[in-house]
Amino acid sequence: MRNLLCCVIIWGCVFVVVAWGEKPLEALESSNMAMAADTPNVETMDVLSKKPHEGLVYPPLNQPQPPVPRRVELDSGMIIYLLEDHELPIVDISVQIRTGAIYEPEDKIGLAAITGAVMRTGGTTSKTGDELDEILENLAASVEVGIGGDSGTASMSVLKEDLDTGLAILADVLMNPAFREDKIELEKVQHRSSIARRNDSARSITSREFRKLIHGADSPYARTTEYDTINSITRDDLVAFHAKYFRPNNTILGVLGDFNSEEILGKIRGAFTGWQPAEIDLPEKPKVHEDMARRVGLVTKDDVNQTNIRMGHVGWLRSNEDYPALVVGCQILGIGFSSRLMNSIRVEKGLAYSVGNNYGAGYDVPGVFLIVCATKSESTVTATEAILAEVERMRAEEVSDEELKQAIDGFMNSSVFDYDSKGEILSRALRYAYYDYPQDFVEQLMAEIRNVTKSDVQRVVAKYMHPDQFTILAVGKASDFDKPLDSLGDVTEIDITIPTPSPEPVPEAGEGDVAKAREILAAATEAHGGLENLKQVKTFVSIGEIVMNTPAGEMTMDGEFTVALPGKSRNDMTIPAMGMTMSRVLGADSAWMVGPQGSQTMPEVFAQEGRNVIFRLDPPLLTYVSGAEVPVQHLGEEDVNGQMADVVLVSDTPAGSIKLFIDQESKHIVKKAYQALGQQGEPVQREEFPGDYRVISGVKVAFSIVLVDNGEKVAEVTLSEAKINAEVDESIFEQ
Amino acid sequence: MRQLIITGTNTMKILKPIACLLLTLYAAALYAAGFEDIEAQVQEHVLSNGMKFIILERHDAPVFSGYIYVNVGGVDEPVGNTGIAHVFEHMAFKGTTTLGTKDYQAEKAVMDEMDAVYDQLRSEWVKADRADPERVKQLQAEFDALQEKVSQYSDGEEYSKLLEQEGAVGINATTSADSTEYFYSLPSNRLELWMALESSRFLDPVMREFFKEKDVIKEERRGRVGSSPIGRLLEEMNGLAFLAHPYGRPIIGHMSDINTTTRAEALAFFEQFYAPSNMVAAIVGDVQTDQVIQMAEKYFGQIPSRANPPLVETIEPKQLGTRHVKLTEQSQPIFICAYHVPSIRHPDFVVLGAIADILSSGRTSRFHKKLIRDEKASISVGAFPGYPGDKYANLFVVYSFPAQGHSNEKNEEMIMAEIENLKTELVTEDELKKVQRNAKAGFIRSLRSNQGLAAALCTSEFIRGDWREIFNLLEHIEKITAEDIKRVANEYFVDNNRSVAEIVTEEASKEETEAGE
Repeated sequence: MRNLLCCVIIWGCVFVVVAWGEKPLEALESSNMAMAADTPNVETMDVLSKKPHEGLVYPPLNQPQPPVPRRVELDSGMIIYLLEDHELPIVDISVQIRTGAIYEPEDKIGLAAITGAVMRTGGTTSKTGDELDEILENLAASVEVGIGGDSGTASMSVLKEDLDTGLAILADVLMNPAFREDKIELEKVQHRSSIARRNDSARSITSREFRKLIHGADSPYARTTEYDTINSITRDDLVAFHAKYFRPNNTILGVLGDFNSEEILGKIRGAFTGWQPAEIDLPEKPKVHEDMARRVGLVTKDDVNQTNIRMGHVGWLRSNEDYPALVVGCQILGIGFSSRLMNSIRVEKGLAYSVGNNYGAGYDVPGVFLIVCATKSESTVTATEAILAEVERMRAEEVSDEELKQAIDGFMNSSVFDYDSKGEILSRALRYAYYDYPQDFVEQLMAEIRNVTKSDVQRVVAKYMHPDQFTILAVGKASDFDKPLDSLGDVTEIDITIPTPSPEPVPEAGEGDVAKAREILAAATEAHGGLENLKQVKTFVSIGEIVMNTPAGEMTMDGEFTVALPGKSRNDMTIPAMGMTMSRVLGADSAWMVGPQGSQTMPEVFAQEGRNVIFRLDPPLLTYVSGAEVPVQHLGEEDVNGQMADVVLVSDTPAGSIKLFIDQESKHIVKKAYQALGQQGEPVQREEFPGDYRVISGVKVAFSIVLVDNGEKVAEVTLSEAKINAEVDESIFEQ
Repeated sequence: MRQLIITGTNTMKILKPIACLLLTLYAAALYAAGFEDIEAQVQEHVLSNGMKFIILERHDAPVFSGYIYVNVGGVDEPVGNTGIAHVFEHMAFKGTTTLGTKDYQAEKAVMDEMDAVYDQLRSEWVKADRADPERVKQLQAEFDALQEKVSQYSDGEEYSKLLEQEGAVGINATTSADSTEYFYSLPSNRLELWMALESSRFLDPVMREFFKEKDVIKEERRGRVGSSPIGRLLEEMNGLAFLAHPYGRPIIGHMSDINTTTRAEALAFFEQFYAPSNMVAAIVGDVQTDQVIQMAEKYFGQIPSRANPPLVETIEPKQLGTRHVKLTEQSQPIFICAYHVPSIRHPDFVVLGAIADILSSGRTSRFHKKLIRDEKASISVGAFPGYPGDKYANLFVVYSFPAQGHSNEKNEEMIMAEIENLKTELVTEDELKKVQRNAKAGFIRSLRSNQGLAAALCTSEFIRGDWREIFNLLEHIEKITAEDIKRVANEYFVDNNRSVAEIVTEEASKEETEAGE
């Protein structure tokens, strides 16, 4: 959040660079550094007659030979890169483990990330995660583990004097994680919460849905966590995932900081003693499918005034012989202030604050070449067309001499920054080792970039960039777009509704459980008025008050709920304090809501929830469960409000699975538990506590109901009057 | 600011705040036992026009970072001109009378005409429904023609292109409530290029492509505020918490103010606030101090002295009761509450920093243990003082992103219980030790970056009154006692001094929220 706040505190960066991938690095001296001059010329600057930098001559750059990390391979197969840096009293270790979310089973998406997180938070066989937190934070040190898409990482950072403690914890976490259940649950809560929040940011919707369009929604490179995939993950899964990949022969360590190499090697050997190598059965890396064709996706989001646009297609490998020319082409097209996209879309047309592309490359599978842009809703298609035209122009004609020189000089002159931090030198060494690239890859790349020509650029752009086959995604308020999006191609509307979790799996039912359940349900049906009376119920009207717990405090509403079975209902509510009325109506063919701002159609998810509410009323529900085919099961007994109740599970009803808690004495239903839709449309685990049963027309009606969602009390309903089979004016269900 | 693509499969990373950032922002400007020698290595030089240069030689790599901090930000803007500090920041990249133009005299003539037409357009706009549509149409056509005409003379990106070609990295600038900052790094043999270019933009600014750049800024606003629930929430919160002080206004500016701002206004703002005595520069890296001074004299010495700009005189009146703003949005709930606290120069501020650390820094912090670990009611919770700025009396902010199925209300209850606890019980010695140790380690780690150090030195010069203060902070932190914390908590964390800003998720029955402005 400090990050988020910073976006607002530190308002205005002049621009946001939209370039990814490694910083282009390298060559040792720039082409125009040859002339030397020791002292700056000291004349008065004449601001009106020449450019401020005119005539400046730069002295030669005094660049020392950059350090090369030392590589050591231990007997266990662990590879270590060491780089001493004695400037500050810190030691940092970064670890790469060959694993990743791409290797997860498809029904357990999230397993890799949760395994990584809980390796650290769940503690080790000798210390709990909370104990590790205390030790590390008292030393202002850190040890962290994470597993991303195609690699696992771990890190340690300590003040020099705490190296032994930090290293021991790092090794312990990698070798002996205990995966304590409480922290698995904590991590699952975090994942579920981020699923719930994933449609809040247009930018994250755009990157997620674009990946799905490019790779396919089920691809390991695009699939997302869902409530079900998170819920299905067990501790055993974590243990197995860790055991499979976390081995010394699958691990690369990078060590940076204030240490003596020989000494620290001894300490590392000691800390990882007993870690046994094993054959790693690494699945083949999933392929990126490369069938490219114009696809246009639209996600409608009404609470934004700017459209996030992304377009592109599968890219290329860094090892491709054309990569150096592609780097130059990408740079000229859309990376930095000098690029064409920046100048055309931002500077000349004022259509965007951020616009640009990436280098499109991957290490061992092709990357995705993509262009991003955010523009006001009213210029969505105009901006997209302008970007496409720039790509076409790159294909159609050679870039200018100035553009080529600008790009190549920029790479050469900034290459010194590839060596200005030892941390960067070391992390590059690790990255190249991990992906099996030559350690001098950057030097080679820069040497080749220097020789790229205009015709090289045009050739590779024409060969690799195909704007006519771009996948294009727009996320925004479609009703405000300047032109219909289908001018760009056939539009697929993407539904980003978050899938609700499936009901929890039903335990294996024994014959006895089923028979007992039927017996209990029969008794309950009797206690509630008998099947015959319950079946007779055609209409049900209840009048009373509902007290809701809202973030602003308690809110009392007067309500009238009218049901005409099987499928119509009307809910009228008044907030006396505000003199406001609202209605929700479920008619024969349509559902709508009426509020202070008028009437509007009820989204289908809420209409479905309305049908479920009707179904869960006692008369239809008890009638339904009397059917011989309905799967029911006795799960045991439980205390409800101080009285023992039998728990009966009714599976797969039209409203999902429902647990009924039936009081052992009165045989009344004293609790119902099921998955419902919360006030905000999110899935919730609801518990309903009916009480104060009174007989109306021979049927028991609960005059008091308490509703609890996810363990928090959300509402209490108290009836003043209930009517069964009273005449109901059908017109109230019509719009 | 570099924008990174998030390749993971969940959006947590966006929401998971990293406590480190807190460290680098204020605890970061901290002390370091055993690092006193760094202070001794820092040199300063004041030009006769009043501009100060802070120089730190570090020769481990042939690069340097140059940083210019101007003591002007959103708080200094005149009423009706919100966002103008940021507008000028953008315009400072648009070149000079010689850089960025093909024919300055011709360009200037057209720009002057454009300004005149724009002024007339603006006087029509303010008439709102009484504006003459025919006249607006005609003026707009005239303006568009001039815009087309001027583009043959202007090359507003020449400044940035030149820097990119010469190997500059991290070219950027930011505007905050308190300051406007310009920075990038260069190979060390291009020190004179930095001097020439950086001085030229304050010596000879030409705000070319002004109106196009305002369109860019409007897109920036749409991205950060109009289309972002958290951006909308923070803008509402600032307005709620400050009745009088300009900290309550949006730094990026209101849309209508961005619309109507003129070149003349931006230039006047520049001339009033970009006095050399109101600017400080830091050079950190592989440079020779005497050469830096010599070049600074030559280039920056030409900037004429100006009167010291005025400070903000408004003092936010004491808050008399709890304030509350609730945004009903399509997005998931967010809870924020804020208390008025004094400026960074007040001795209590460092205590508030320690409180923020104890509440929310790391997994052993009180908020994390209670709200995230034990109750699993939040996925991200934190606290910090210094919002939206440090220079004047500001806000101590507490926030939480409730976990799925948990309400703001429940989060608020737990947060308030922790805050009440600070008022009644003393914090432990261990907690105080941890604050000190974090501050030290954070400072040491921050030394790795030339640019970070340059920024910290500049900021301290104006915000704390002296760059040396960053080396004294440890001392202040070591003096904090458990009683101080209890006293400060009781002084500021009171109901009448509290503002609550929250997002609650709309019920589907409510009308769609209109986006942004």
